Amino acid sequence: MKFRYIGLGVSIGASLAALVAVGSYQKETILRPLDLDGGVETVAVPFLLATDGDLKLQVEAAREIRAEEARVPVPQTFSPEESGPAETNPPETNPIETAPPVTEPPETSPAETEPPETTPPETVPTEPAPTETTPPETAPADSGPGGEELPFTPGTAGVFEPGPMVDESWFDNALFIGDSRTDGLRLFSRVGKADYFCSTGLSVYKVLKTECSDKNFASQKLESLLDSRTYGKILICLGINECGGRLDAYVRAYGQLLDTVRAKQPDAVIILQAIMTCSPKKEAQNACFSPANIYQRNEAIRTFADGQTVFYIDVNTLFAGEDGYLPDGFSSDGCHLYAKYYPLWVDWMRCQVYDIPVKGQE
Amino acid sequence: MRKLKIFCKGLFSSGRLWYNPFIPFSTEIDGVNLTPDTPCAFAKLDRMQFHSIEFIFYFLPAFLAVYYVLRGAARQTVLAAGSLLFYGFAAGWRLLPMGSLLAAVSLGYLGGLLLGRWPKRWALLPLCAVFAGGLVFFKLYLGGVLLPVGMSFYVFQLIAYLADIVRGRISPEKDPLRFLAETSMFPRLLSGPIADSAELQRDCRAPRVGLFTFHMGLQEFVLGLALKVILANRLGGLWAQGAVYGFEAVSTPFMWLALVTWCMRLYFDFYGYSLMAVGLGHMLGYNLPMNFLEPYSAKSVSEFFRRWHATLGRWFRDYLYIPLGGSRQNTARTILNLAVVWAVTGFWHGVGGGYLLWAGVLFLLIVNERLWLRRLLDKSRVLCHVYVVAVILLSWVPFAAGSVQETLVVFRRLFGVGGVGAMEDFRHWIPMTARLFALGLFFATPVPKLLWRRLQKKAWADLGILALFWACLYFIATSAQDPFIYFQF
Repeated sequence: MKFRYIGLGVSIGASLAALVAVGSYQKETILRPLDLDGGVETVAVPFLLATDGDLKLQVEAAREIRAEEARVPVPQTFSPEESGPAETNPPETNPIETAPPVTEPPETSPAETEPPETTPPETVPTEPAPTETTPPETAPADSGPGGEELPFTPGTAGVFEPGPMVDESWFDNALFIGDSRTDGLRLFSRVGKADYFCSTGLSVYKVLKTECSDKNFASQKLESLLDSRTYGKILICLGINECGGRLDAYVRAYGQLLDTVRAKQPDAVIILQAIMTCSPKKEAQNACFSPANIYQRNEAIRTFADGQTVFYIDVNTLFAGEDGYLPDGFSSDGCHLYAKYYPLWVDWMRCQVYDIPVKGQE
Repeated sequence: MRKLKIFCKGLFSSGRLWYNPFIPFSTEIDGVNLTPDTPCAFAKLDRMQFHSIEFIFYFLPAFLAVYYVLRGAARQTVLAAGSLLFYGFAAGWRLLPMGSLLAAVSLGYLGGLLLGRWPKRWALLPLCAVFAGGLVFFKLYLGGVLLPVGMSFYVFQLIAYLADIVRGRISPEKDPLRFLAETSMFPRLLSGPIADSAELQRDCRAPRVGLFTFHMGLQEFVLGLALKVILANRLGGLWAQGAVYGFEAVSTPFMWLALVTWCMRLYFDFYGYSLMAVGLGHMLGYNLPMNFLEPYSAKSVSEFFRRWHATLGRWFRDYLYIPLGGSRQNTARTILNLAVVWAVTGFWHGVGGGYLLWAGVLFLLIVNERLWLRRLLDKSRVLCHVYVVAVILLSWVPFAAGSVQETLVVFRRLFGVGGVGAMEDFRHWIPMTARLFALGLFFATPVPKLLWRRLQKKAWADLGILALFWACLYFIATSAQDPFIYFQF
């Protein structure tokens, strides 16, 4: 009997010692990027917590960027990186987009010339309006009413007037890539024979490293999925999980994702979906969910669209209220739509893609 | 010194960081100076509870070390002081709960001395009225928001103490410190169990501290922790996910899955907590009663509630139902007594239509069983179990849903009113929850307890317990990233 208690004591002692050792060794493993663009990128160091890949990747990305900045002595008028949340994206996204052209040239020649002189207005012709008028949603975004700049797109709070829309079979050769919001689309309003590569917590940092599965394909990484099938349309909706991290790291990872997708599926039309905003309640939990921050990221996403093969659609024009927030009554947690609204999202999408030219379908 | 100050500040501020117990002050990382109250996305931590890192790594070891070193009356002093400290952490050092606890305990102490001199029923009534009035005041008048943590439990314990003095079962406690230790000992301060006052008094005068009880207590504590952290916390996510989807649009199979996981969560949460309390009691040399006696293997609803939260049920029986006359008079009187008990039970759980609905339905079922249903149920054992599980699962719906409207929505989905729905949600979640679900089903049967009784004596059982403990720590530490919980989207 006594022997047993000695054993117990020894094992408790040994594991405590192990804990001390691991604890002091792991001092820096887990860091939480919280601050949006400033220098503070790390906060908590919880113990035993080596599992959060996304945080690590975000921090790594931020560190890489920082290290590059330190090596390269200020490339092309680029320095305001640390100057807090910049409202104007072009100068900020430029240095990041120096990466895409390396792999982008092979496919589309018009797209190739695009990155250096990205300008937001380019998306205007690409926006297929539900009705035949010019897109009402992009106009106020660039310059708000009355000269005062609105950082977000005022939406219609769920009021939707359907125009001409594509048939559901349009999505038969489509692939949706996204986080839990796309997961909601998959669960509650699956369209056609589309594939859904999505999982809760997916981010641009993780998307190439995560394995997902769906009805029509077994668990695999995105690249192998893109290798094994040919898609006509690829819809990407990623960004809410990255809100707390740095914008430049986000844009860069987004660019890498686009490069990969483009290289594997040269003929596919890529449709970039804006990040849906959150409710004020959600913003109260963390300031990074503010419409201002989300829309800043949406602007960055929009600069990837070229109107030829890459398009941008903004779901906030459907769900957001006048103030840019997701209104009450659409969500219980302030971030995810109630299941009953996903069909509305799909109907709206069917209108939005109506004018998008797709190879082999004209 | 500065670090110590930061550390203490962190300990006492509510929105503090969640730190490595071995790196309590992570000061500089990447040139950024961090303090324990730097905001952090996942730092929203429960206030001190048995399953928190703070309790397991700071409070409990420190307390036990002091408690074991001291002898005799000093132990009770330490227990009293430690319990107040624990309550302070748990209640966030706010004045109202601390004041209420101390006021209630002082009133109980003085009342006990008074009743010891004049053990009369009429003297007991006003004291009980004050306690009950306090509870009603906090629950009804202040809407339950400001209800001090654990008040429902310590008030009931004090009423039991006073009533037992009048009945002559125990003599009043003369030593105020010992009384404080006895009535507010931290293992049962927050959520019971409500102990038998005679046994509590006996234990407090001579706690049976020893290696054997410590060992047993440690095992029970870890098992309870595992139920809470590995099962309950993770099972609870599916219901939350359903709420995010909005129940009106989920499919019927998903709704059933969510309801069953919610019921499991409720059971393992409270069962785990109670087991931890009993384990802590054993470590301190106290014998606290078990709260859960395999309720889901009951054969009738009335039996279910003798096994579910048993100490509360016993309290209601001993201090309300029997004084009212119990079942010794005619049937109508018995039913009336039951109605009173269930009305109070409903109110005790919370204020609102949902709770009253819950209590009302259970009251009707129990009366029904008493009068007619029992004869039918006696015929088949299978029928009994099916009946109890079905009825109990459905009876938790008002609890889970929170409001009457939401309850109706859930019931509509459960029975497929307006179509079963497209089941994609169910197909998506079933592979992720299947393992936990099966584990939950297994632990809802009496088998694990029997198994444990056999294995307990084996020498390698402790290794298993140790492994379980580390698994629990892992889940506590990573719970912030549990895909169920909404830190990720």
